[in-house]
Formats: sequence, C-alpha cells, structure tokens
Amino acid sequence: MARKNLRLKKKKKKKRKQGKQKECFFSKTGMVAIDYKDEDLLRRFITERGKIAPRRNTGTTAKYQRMLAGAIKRARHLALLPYVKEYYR
Amino acid sequence: MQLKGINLSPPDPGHSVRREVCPVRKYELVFILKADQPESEMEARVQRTAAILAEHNGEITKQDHWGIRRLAYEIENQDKGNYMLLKFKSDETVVKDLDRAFRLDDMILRHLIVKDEEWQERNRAAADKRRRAAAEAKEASAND
Repeated sequence: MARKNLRLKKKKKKKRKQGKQKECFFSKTGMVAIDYKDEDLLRRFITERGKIAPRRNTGTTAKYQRMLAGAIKRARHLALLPYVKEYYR
Repeated sequence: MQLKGINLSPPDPGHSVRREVCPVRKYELVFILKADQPESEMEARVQRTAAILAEHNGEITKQDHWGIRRLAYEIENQDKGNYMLLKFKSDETVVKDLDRAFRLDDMILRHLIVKDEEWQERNRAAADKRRRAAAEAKEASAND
C-alpha cells in the first residue's frame, strides 16, 4: 500500500511557474537591424557574467535572438563586450 | 577529340565573363591600434588602407575615429585601444589583401571587416515606416 502511494506521488507533474510573457524588445520598438557597434543596446542582453541572455528571460523572438547573438559575438571580438566579466576570471 | 564523358570544348563565354566582372560592394572595417602609439601611426594605417583600396578601384566613403577606449578585456597586456571605423566601397577581392595587411601588423590589436549592412539606415527607415503607418491609422480612426 505504501509503495503504491509513493508511485502516485511520483506521477504528480511539476507545475512550471507561469510568468507574464515578456514582449520582444526589437519587435516592440520596430528595430530591424542589430548593430554590433551599439554597445549600450547589446549590454542589455547579456547576463551579469557576460553571457548572452536566454530568450526565456528577455522575451526576444527567435529571429532577433539569432541576429543578437551574431552582433554580440562581433562586439566581443572587438573588445566592446567582455567574454567573461573581469572579477570572475 | 572527344574523350568519353569529358567535354574538351572551351566553356561557354558567358561563364568566363561573369567570372571577370567583380561586383563592387560596401564594407565596414574596424581596427584597434595600440593606445600608446601616436596619432600619426593611425594616419599611416588609414592611408595604407586607402592605398590598398585604390588597387582594387575602391575608396573610403566614411571615416569615424572613436578615439581611445577602454577594452572589455586585456589584449596583449593592453587595457586601452585606439578605435577607428572606416566604411568603404570596393571590389570584393580587396578583403583578402586588407585582411592580410592588418593581420601582419603588430601594432593592430584587433580588426574586423564585414559587409556594410547599413544598420542605422535600415532602422531609421523602419521607424519612419511605422510612424507613418501609425499616423495613417490615427487618421483613419478620426475619419470614422
């Protein structure tokens, strides 16, 4: 009997937290091209450690996330953005 | 003479003509000079770029000197760099030569040559279009 209960417990699905769906910044503002030289803009889409922020956090659409990733990588090459934040190195 | 399955006749002329015509394209070049170098060194780099471009019937269309900036990370023990942005129009053969010139230059920390995608212009055009559409929609709703 006890074993049965255990199995029942396991079957319970974890409920994912449902937050408000964030709107994509680029779709909202009508930007069509993401410039790798626009450092201030790109900084909003990297994490504290300097990683590219995931879509689930920023709400960026897939199309713009791809462009954003390319722009961030170019900016990193030119040392406009860090690969890793200094104090974590 | 015709070998089995191999065509020895010269390729059609249209093909070779297409090969010779080299399309003129727009490019963007950013390079970082070591910050401890004098500005004359920067001038020299720009002039050399112009000289290489001239060989490929190209020209510099825009020159934007960002000046000395802090680097996001150290490169060759340097924490500052002298940035320069050049936009140019040229045959696509120039990229290889230009890239080589910058790669061999010890005073250059980084360089990047990319197709000029006119980011700002495109964004401005899109913004204008949106504004116009919004204005029209407003007018339409006012007329109703």
